[in-house]
Amino acid sequence: MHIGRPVRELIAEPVVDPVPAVDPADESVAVRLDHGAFGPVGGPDDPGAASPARL
Amino acid sequence: MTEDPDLAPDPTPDLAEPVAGWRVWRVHTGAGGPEIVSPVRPVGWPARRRMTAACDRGCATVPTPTCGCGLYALADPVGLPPNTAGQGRVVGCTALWGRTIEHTGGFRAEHGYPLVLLVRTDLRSMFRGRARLREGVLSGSAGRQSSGGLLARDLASRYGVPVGVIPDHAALPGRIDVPGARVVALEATRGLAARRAGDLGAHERLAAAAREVFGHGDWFAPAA
Repeated sequence: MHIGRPVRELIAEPVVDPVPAVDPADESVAVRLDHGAFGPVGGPDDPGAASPARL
Repeated sequence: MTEDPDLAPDPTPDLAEPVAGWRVWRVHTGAGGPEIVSPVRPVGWPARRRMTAACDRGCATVPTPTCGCGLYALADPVGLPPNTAGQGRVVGCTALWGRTIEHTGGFRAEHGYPLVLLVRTDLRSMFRGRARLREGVLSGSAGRQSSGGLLARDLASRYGVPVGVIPDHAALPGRIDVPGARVVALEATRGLAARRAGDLGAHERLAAAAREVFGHGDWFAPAA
């Protein structure tokens, strides 16, 4: 991956931490967006919904 | 003795948000689920913890202008290697922060964490066996879910970031719409707080922007 020559140095301190919180409960839930809308969470099309989604 | 203000390190941050760049990871599936791994060395990016660069040459701070150390990302995805579509790799837009060096075509940074990941459907052969296993224990329409989708969902759950499945015919890196990709990166960064708070609109905007560039496929969002 060629990123070219260095231009400048900077310090970035995000106000919002890009790293999501460590919450084991969250790791069991991901929701599918289906064609521009959120699909049924925990329904038959959500094969991995092991616990209730919270979106 | 007074300190020369031009030589003293400036502790004031230049940016209050992360820099966004594009990069590729390999995907390794272990006991804990899928893990994104550096494509150049066997170092995994941890889930729900920031990735921090280290320097093999002993740089006290990472990255430094005179060394090649740091976490790498491109400013635009057009520069991604042509084998990006190869099996076992995912593309994504990553947040970079801390000490950061801007280059003419990208960035090197101290810390990183993915903002959004894109899984190509040609990964499905790699994960077919695992998907069959899943489908075997699930009922109803679960079997219709593509294995690319299962990987995307697992990555979204584990890393807590949105993950899209992009079709095999998605634009090759050299043909990607650069302005569109910049919208994706901007939305990925600026919408971070809203997505974290569970704002469905923010998820929709990111998904829509990415679909414009990479094509339509399933999208998975982590729970808020």
